Amino acid sequence: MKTIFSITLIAVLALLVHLYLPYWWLISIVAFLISFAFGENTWKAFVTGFFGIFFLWFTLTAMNSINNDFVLVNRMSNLLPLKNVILTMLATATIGGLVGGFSSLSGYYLKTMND
Amino acid sequence: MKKVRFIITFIITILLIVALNSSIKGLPALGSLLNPTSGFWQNAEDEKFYLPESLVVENLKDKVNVYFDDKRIPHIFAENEHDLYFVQGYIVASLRLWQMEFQVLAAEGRISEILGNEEKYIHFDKNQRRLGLTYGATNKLKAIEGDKLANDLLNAYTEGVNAYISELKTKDLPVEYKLMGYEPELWTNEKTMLVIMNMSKILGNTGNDIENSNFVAKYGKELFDIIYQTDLKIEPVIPTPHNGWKNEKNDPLPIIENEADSIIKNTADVKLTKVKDEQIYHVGSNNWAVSGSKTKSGYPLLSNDPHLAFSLPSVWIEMHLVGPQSNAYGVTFPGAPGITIGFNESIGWGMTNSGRDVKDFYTIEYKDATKELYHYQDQWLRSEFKYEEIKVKGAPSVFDTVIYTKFGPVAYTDFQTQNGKKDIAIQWMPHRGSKEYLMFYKLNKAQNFEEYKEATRHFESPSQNMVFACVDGDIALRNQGNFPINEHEQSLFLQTSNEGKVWDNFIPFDENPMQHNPKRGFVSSANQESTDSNYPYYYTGWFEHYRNRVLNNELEKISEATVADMKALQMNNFNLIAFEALPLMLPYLDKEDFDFNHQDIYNALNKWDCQNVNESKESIYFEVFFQQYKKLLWDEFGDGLATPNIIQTLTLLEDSTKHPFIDNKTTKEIETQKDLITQAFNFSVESYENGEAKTWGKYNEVNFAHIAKLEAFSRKIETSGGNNHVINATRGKFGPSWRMILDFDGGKINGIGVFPGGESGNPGSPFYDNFVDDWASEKYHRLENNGDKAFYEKAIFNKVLFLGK
Repeated sequence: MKTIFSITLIAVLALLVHLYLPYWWLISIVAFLISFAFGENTWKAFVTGFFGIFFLWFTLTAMNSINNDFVLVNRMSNLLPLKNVILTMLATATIGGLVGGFSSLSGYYLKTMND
Repeated sequence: MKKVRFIITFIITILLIVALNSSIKGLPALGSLLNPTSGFWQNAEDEKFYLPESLVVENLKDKVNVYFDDKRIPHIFAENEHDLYFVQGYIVASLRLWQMEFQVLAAEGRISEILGNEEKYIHFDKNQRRLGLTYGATNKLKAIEGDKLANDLLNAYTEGVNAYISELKTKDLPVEYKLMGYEPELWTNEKTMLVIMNMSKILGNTGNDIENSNFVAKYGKELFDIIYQTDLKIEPVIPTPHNGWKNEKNDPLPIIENEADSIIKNTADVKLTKVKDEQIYHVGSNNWAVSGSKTKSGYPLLSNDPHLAFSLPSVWIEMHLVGPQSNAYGVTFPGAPGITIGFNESIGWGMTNSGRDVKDFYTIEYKDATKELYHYQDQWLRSEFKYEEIKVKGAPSVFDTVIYTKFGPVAYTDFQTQNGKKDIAIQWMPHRGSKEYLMFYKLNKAQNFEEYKEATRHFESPSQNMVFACVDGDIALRNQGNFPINEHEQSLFLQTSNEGKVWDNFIPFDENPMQHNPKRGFVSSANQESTDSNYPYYYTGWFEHYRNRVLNNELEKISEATVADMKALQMNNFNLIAFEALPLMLPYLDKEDFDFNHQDIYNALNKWDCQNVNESKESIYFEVFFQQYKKLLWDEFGDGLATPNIIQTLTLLEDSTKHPFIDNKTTKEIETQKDLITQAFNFSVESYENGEAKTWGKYNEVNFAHIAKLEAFSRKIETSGGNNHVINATRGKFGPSWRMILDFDGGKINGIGVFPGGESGNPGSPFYDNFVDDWASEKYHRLENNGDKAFYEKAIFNKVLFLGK
């Protein structure tokens, strides 16, 4: 339950970061802080960070592509090595997920550093 | 231990973020490119309009209304000219920023800076600098700065572009910037000049002086005159008037003795070095105006279809500019203020390239190896050394020194000639200061023939055939440019720096060929010779000899002409080359050698109506047959010599007795015309059988290549017809880049037009290539030039209100 709560919280706060702050990678601070506050164990810390951002990014790219009738993502996926719209969206979400996951893990490890 | 795992994980996180933001080996930074909030996803256009409803910008004097119609064509209404050009700059930048900057970076020779460390990019950049495009742009800027009006308008345009750039957020950068990892620079007036220099390179960079001198060195002048005959089947743009050539004051033009001895003394004999990177010989255009005496309405019709390289984003952008005294509609180049080809409420105008040679070549005679002094008119003059730093992405800069002489830059260094290694400098008209943009500004406002004539005087290069029609019924065509007065054949051959002379004598503008309401009831041009040989001034150039004859033939026949006739004429697919070549070539084929298949193809070609249309297989057979024949015939003409053109080739086929080049040098046997033609025919039959394309439409596939050659942003389509020497000059990478027809019925101009592209330069926009299918299916759209704002207010268009601060 707590994991789902953390994933949702990371996704929502990361969305706010995207809306109001200039750099995309500032989402790492969100994942870091949430796990610092609520992190339970190594595995869960990584998973919450990863999926918090993964789901957010996948949703954003999907909405973006649907609103655009997939015009751009079609062209871009031909340009990029994956050559497939869904894979391009998944790759994007995975990159975000990795940043989220490692940030989140760092936050949890900082919290437990002196345990 | 737990401290260590935190530190390691933390460092991994930081490194991951840094890596995702770094460009590695020229590949884009993945995080910057892919993240959904500032990466490429942000370039996906949704239903929300891309600009806000109102925009407050600095330097605007008054409010400006912009209405975007359903094709995203902007209709700009400004209260003064400054604001009109300002907002034009802003809007063009908002639609085409990456393209407008990239073409300028290419003109400056700076693509290595963007595209990276590859030999071909560095080679391209070096050549651009040696051609001196920036040098020309600087000279043009100096010339136009002296004209306050023109200078103010250039400034306004630049301010507008920069108002857009300076407010641009990273997420809104055109996707190409994100892919290549750079950001736009501020625009300058010099960049605006580079846009026209870029066109000068495309349209006015002909001149076979070196190749011609090579030929003479190798084979002699007598053979040169046979091979490269120029007086062949000429139907010039402007025929000699029945009462002789006159200037605008109606005085006869001077008589110039053209029979002087040939002046060639400097033979090059280049050791077949590759002289040119690419010959852009498919560039061309058609334009014509039919007077009321030959139209159904009794008012003129005007057509123009300039043939340029197909690209995405398109070379053109369509706009409607309404100012206090002007209402101009048409297309322009992104980065070029005003309307380039179009119409206002009174007149319409269009362009074709005139192709006259305004580029001369000189071998430079240096005093010594330092190259500091060179011989000119029996004096030693000092060379100017310009150091060029070519920045290279991801690698150290490359340096080059370009020597400037009195003629212009040394375009080729260490050229192997029979007199040792030489530098070759060029003297090129586009290098000179001139005010082309002033012409466009004035044409946009011109109301009648007199104002058209006055406006066109400002245009010096690249020389154009400028067609004109007016609601009062006038039609005209002027062959306009600045042309040096050459001695006979002077501009054909390489000269030495000592014998050459800096141009100091030019054909007065009012002696340029012009036709105004000619008796035949039409004016036309299709890149053929500007005049016949009765015109007193000597000139050479690159000319096309087929489209114009078909066009004039049709225009002679036409009566009661309508817009539908003009459309049909722009789409005319009659291949005059085939019509003239087949009767010469087919009789050489020996029917006894034929197998069944050959006989069928022979019969088909014999009966063919010479229409280059989609379904026609004959089009493919003929194309391959003829190209292969030329290849076998001119096998001696590799690099360093100019391959004779088609009309020269066919004239020699009519009378083969004089022909010294029939033998194929790579074989032991001595070939005859019959051998070559038979081989070419067999080759054609075989390659059709083995080839994938079985219809002409498929064979003549058109590629709208993205400007940076990104295939995913390009489009390929089959064509309905066309070829590069037919009026519908659609072939491969080139063709009608804009088709426009203007109807002056009732003293009001109604225009239709289409270009193969879209208004937006963004591959993530539905307006990126939405006109391509219309263009391909021969559809035009109405060019809505209503000068009343209320008309657009009522419609449900996207509106943007610009306000000054």
